[in-house]
Amino acid sequence: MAAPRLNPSSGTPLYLQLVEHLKHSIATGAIRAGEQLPSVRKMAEDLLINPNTVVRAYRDLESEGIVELRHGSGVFIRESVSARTDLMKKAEPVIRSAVDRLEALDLDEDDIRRLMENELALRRAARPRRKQRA
Amino acid sequence: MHSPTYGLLWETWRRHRDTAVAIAGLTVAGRLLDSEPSSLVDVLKMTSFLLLFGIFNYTDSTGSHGVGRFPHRLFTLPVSSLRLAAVPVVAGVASVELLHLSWTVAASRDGSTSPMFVAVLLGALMVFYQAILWTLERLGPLRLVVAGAVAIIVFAIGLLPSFAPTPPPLWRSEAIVAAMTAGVAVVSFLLSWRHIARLRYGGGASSAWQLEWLIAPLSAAMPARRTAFGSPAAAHFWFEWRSSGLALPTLVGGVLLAIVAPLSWFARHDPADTWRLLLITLGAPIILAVPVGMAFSKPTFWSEDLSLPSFVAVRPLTADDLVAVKVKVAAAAVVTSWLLVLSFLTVWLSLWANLGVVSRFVSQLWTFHGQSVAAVCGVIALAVMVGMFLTWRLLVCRLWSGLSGNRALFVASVLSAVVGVIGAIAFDETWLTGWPFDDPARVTRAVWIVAMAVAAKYLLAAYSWRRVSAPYLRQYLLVWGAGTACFLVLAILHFSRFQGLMILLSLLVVPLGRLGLAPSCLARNRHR
Amino acid sequence: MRDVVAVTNLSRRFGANAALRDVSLTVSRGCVFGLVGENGAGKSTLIKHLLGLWRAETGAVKVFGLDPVSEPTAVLARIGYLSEQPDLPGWMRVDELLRYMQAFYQRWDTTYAEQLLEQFGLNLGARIKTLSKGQHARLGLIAAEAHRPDLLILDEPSSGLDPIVRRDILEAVIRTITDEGRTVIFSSHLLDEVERVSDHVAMLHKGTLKLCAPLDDIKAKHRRMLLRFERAQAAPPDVPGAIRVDGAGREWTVICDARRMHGAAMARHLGASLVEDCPASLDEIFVAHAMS
Repeated sequence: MAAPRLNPSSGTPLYLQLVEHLKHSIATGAIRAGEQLPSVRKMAEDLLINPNTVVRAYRDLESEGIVELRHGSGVFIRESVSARTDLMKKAEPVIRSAVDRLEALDLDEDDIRRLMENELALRRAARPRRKQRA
Repeated sequence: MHSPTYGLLWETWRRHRDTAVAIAGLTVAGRLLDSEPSSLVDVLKMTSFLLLFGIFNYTDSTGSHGVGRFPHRLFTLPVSSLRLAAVPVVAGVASVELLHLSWTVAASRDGSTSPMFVAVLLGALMVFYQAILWTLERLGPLRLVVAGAVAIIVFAIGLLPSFAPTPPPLWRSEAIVAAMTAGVAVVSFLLSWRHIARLRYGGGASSAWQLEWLIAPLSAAMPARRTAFGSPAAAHFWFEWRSSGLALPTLVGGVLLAIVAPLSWFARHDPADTWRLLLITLGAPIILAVPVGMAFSKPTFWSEDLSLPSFVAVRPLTADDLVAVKVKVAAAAVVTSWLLVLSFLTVWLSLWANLGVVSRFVSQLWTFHGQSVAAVCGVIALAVMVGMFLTWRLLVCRLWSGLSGNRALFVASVLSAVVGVIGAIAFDETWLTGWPFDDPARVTRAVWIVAMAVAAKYLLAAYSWRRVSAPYLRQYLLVWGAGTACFLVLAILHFSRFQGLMILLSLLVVPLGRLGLAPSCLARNRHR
Repeated sequence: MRDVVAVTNLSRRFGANAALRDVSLTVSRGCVFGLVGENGAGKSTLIKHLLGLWRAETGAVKVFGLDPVSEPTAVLARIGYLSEQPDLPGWMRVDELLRYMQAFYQRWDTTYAEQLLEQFGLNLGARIKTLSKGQHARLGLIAAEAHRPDLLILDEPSSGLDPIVRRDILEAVIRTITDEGRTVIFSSHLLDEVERVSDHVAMLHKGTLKLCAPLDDIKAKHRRMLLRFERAQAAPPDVPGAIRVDGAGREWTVICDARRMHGAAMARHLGASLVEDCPASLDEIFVAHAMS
């Protein structure tokens, strides 16, 4: 697993950055289902962050059902995650064709990204606010 | 400031303005007092010259090195190395000649050697002194011993023309000797210039390389600590010993090797000189303990800073422990120095010494003590113990002011010692004969004064030792008891007339109250 | 005992200069406590009070429930200290230093020390005065860490050091904290390091404690908003509840307390548009409090 570059001074809290990175690794297949994630201590020492941050990230992932904490053994990726990876693989061609069509309309990369973010933001605003953990 | 030379000179002047004023003051005082020739004038003259040599100690001491080396910060100035080397040397020679000129009128009694000759020798000495300081920086504090030795050699050279038979043959005449000394001075200037130039471009100077070749295997062969320490106090003892304890033995050893040994060889035909040299050898640790003691009483031996370094302050040791370690290191240093002196004396006295006066003194002692050899050995042993206690006392008695971190207190304490030393040098026996010892009233008065001093000392001791922990109190009382007993026994045995006075004086010698103050002073320094 | 360090109403003057003004804080067991502040804010002074190197003029300092001035041995035996200035004696060799330190601390772990020595690449026979600044810092770190102290105090450990040494120091901090029950206090003005590893942050400015809270709370509390006005403003707009307003002309940045302000409403009230509303970085929070 590639070491993530965590930026403490960006707006996102460090634990969320770590969660995002781990999710991304799982989605791209860098970490497979059933594999063990590094221990809290090792992860903290490698990334040079507070162990509590790692603990929170792992707990977040656990509450989202992506990993399970097995007492005494460590943190393991759930088998059910593989289902997610397949899903992601299925979604890839959808995105590819959409981007092809947008490029045919002569839109460049920045425009496409802006459109995507706008759309997601609108949907986010329309949804009831999900309760954020403090 | 338009010229680099002027800039360099101005820096020296600005840095040592106060000392220069002091020298001027001393010279004026000496000229004024010249009407009554006495040793006081000699002392003033010597002090002014010593201060001048102190000014031209053209070195920078960085904190980590402690002892100075040629200021490396000057190397980045747009000035040639020749100028950097020449400016302090020429300025030094000029100042020394100027000072000599202002004193020659004062020193008119000393008519045996011509002032010109002395001037040349003084100038040469200044050049040698600076060359030693700059080129031999690897030796650290031993440079001063070497400088002292060179000073004595130059003094001996100065005496060469005046030796019998007069007028001296050509090679020993003043002109030739002066010329040769001046030549050697020029050579040493060239050597120091070359050294500075090499230092500047960092080119591993070959002269330094040769010393390195000697020193490196020595320091590698020196016993390095291999086993673990038994206790925190033992570990800190090792630390203090390595940082400050070696100074006194090294100085004593250096003096013995470089000065006493050669002089003892030259004096082997003269019993009176041998006797005097023996006394000087016995007195060397005591005399050297005065300056070493002033440095030793500071928290760091080599640094001017009176605050406790954080490395030591953060150790889990109490102030009592720290002071006790310093006292023990002083004792170890004293024992080592005296062992060096005694072993040197054994070798010297048994091999090439002229024992005329010495054996006369010993037989006098033998008759005095009822012709008992054991008593004589006992007295000699006691005398050595007394010497050791005196040396140790000089190292340790200023701990309370040095460790307190209060600069005013420390300077006052040091100045009192300096005044005492100057008083001892200027002491003229003629003053004593004028003082009627036989007048009982004066003696009684003296006894009363000393008795009050003793009472004050023990009152202070009772007050200051209250807060020190009991084990240390017991250990120190044993030491104090042993020391005072030695002095008492010697006093009682040898002084039948002023026994009361001598007994009281021997009660005063070993420091008691001041050492009890030291831990609380250190605690105040550590927790400011 | 939960609180490793308890400082109450501590004040300290040096001549006319007040280095610390009525500072009160507590450090609980097992946390990484970051102390930030500009040069001369009083961080080193506060740390020296914890070590007993300064006596508390007013107020009280308690470390492990004891007064470091009256009981230096009990307190210092459980503290490992890495100072800002290199203060290891230059004449010692590396192995001599470690053997010397070992005598003072019963919990000295020789294997751990050797492992650190190897990891840092320090030569046992080298004289300390020949070490570079980074190697010196690493050696000081080993000396402070090898006895696994209950409280590790690092005073500006990264000042003047290259990124690799800084990494080593941060690793030591993490390692200490993953050992149960050990606490770390470190002062730094490299805020991204503080943000990475601290649980709690205290901010000192000219001797006063401006902030002392868990890091997450601080970051949640402060937000940065970018306002754009129609017309150029000659003076900083008066934003109620803002800690600091900075900028020029038409664009102004506001650092404010997030709980007491609703960005969009405030912008409308001032007649500006809210261009950006995001969490503030510790750097910006620090500067805002320092300049306010």
